[in-house]
Amino acid sequence: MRLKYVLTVLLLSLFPMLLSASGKQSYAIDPKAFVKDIDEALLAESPEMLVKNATKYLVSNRQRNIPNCFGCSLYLIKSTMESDPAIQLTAVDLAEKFSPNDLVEVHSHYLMRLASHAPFEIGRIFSEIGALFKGALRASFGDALIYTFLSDLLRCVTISFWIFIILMTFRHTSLLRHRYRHLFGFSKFYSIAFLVALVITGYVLIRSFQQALFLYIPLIVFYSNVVTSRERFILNFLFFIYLLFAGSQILLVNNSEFKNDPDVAYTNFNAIYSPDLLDSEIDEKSPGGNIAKGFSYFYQGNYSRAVFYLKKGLSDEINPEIAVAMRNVIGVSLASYGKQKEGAEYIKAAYEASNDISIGYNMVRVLQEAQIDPDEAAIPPELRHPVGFAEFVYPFIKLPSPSAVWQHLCYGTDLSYRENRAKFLIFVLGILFYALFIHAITLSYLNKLKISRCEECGAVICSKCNPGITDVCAVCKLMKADSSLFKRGEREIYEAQRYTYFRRRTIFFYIFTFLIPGGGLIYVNRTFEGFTYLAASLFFAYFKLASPLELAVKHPVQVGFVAATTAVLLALIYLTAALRSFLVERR
Amino acid sequence: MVREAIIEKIPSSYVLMAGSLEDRSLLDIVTEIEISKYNGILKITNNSTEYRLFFREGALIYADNSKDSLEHCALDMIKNSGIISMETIIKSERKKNTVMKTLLETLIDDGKISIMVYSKIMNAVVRRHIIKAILNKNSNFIFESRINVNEVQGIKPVSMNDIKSIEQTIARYPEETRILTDSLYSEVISSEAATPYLSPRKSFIHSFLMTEYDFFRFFSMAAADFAEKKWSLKSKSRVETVLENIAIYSFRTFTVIVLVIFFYLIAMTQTFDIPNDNYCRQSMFFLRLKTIQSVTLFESGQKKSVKELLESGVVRQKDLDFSKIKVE
Repeated sequence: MRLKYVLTVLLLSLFPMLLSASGKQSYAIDPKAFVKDIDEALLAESPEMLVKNATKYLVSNRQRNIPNCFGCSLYLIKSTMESDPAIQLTAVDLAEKFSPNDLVEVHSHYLMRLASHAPFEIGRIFSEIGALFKGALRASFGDALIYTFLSDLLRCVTISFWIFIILMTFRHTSLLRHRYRHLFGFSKFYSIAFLVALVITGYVLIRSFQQALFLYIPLIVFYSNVVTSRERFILNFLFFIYLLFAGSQILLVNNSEFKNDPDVAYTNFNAIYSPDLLDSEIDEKSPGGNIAKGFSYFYQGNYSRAVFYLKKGLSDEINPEIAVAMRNVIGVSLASYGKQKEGAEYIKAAYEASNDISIGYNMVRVLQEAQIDPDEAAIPPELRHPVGFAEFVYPFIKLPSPSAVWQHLCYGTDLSYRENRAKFLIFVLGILFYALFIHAITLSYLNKLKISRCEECGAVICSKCNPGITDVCAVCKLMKADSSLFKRGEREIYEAQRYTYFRRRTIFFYIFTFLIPGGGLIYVNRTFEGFTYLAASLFFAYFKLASPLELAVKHPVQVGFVAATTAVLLALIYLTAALRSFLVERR
Repeated sequence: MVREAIIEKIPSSYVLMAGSLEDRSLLDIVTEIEISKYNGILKITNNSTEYRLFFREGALIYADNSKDSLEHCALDMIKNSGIISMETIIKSERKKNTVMKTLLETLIDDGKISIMVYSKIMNAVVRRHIIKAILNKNSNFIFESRINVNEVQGIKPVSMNDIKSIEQTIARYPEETRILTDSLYSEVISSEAATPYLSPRKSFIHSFLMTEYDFFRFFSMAAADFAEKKWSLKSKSRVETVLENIAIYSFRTFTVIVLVIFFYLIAMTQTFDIPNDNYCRQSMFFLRLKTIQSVTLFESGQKKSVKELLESGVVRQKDLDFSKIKVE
């Protein structure tokens, strides 16, 4: 009888201890032990020992179904910055194994180390580039990353646009001037006043990528009727690219600061993805707290409590991707303590929502364990005789993308995404309408105004000022018919004009060739080729490879390596463009 | 002005002929004047307009009307024919005040209108008045004798044969003639094969100015072909016009509505506002800082404050500003 009381008291005293365990990383890797083992291997400078010492932690995590150990990965990377190449590569490989899908930094470092120490491992490099892109899109700060990426891209397009406009202005100066004068009825006052107004408006508008379009559209429309068809194509191409990127930025914008406490969100995030970084208790009442607790209990092996919290979490409005992961974990947890049939139902719902075959295998396995007939459970036909089931490792835990989870934890069921979609649509339609409107005004006001150059001397031929004249101007016709009609000196002026028109190697050609990669080519009417060099050089100048990732652990070699690679690429493009310009000009 | 310059005014005048065109055809009157070699003015009056035909020794040398001067009619023809652009006219209009000349003179001086084209326009205007005078069948006429009527430079006298032929044309195609005289500036719809003297998609008078024909000859040919439907004038039925107007005004209303919405969105909402870069990048910088803190804790077992990280140079003030984490 006494023993009964003693046991009851003992169990009751243990209960709060079990509860408190949910908020600590006691079930995760012990950082002290891990750091000690890794340091030991690094002191011995032995990659084999590094693998051996790290493996036991990897196995421990796998056994507990813990998906990542961000701390382990980052420590492995950070502590081997100055090590031998072999150790560096081994460490980063282990780091990737500790956090295979959810830590984008690992792929960035892996890529850099491969590029620095094993540049001929082309296959591996490409595979890491793929993993880096995939990881960047899934990353918790994915939206911010894409936003930054788009900002850089928009800067590239903006610079390309302005360079192109400048080149077009120098290429078609007289035509543009004539068209501009038509626009203002040949009034100097209005044309100068408008130019001033345009510069001021431009200064105001150009500060935002979105608003700058209001300036670019009239410019594009104005230039379009003067430039060649290829140049027009590039102007319109830049406009549509710009519109697409500027619009996409709207889709990614968070319209407010964090709605929930970001520190709490960070704790809950770590509880789901990397319990080793947990440094405070999980508050179940916090947004996403039930999900965090559910996953945390699951990693501890306390399946009944995991089911309890995850079911509670499911009752909230959540992202379908998160719901799939939760149902799968609930199913696996239920199956682990004898409720296979109920567990199969949850896994089936997750499978139907995601169509992920590995989740389907989870269901097959659970049904096999419970010896339930596939017909009775209404298993989908593709899972009746699964091909890859022999190699399947049960259980398969599918985590949602960190981006979706972080969004949920920080903003909850915020409707800003829907609002952003509406804004995006309004923005794109508004801009297209504005473009149409400007086109309509131009058509109405400068109706059928065709401006071209005389094929003989390059003089402006305008359909309104010189009606009926095409291809060759009146002066050239007269010159051919009877050149004696010209007064003394007029002939010389005419010939000088002709020479200037046909001369390709001008001061502007040299300036553009040496100042702008591809500028010389665009100036001598090799538009597409020149623009390719220009776009490529801007791309490489702006995109410093993995630098936009803003890593927590920076690679010391990275800055120099990226700078050197960029410099080499830029120099190659510049020299090729300049060489091509001179070759084309000589023909 | 031109008319006043060409008529040598005399203190008195006397009427040689008077009557109604219903009783006597214009051709008869003109024939009599020609045979008698009269100098004078034949005034043909209906309720609103008086047409004046000027004769010198029996030859019809000039014609005008009481409403518009010849210069005005010529300028009207220049503006509406499409031979020079509206911008050129505006430019010359602006210039005429500085050079103290008329618009017509400015256009001629600047070479926008050649003397040949100007002469053709003047002749066309005179002949148009003659046609209009012939078309006024119910009008009264009066012929006033003058001592002398001067010739107008550049205007060719109208021969009797010309008057005969145009009167025949008017008699044969009265309706077509009336339409054509009222639609000189309408666009021609024709094929070059059927009517080689007409320029498609140009005004009727523009087509005339581009040919070498005399106005009466050109007009007679055009009237005959017009009656045979070899060509037509760009005109719309009432339904077409109404539908076009509905379409135009619907489009304009739509444009105005969209513009109002557009400006409302720009001015009153945040649709086209600058996205707040700080909000967009806050997550990235916040997570970066927190990860640095967590890794430090993982590594050393001690949690470093943001201030310590800032002091040690691991994080920059810019990162803190973006992440909105406050230094404790």
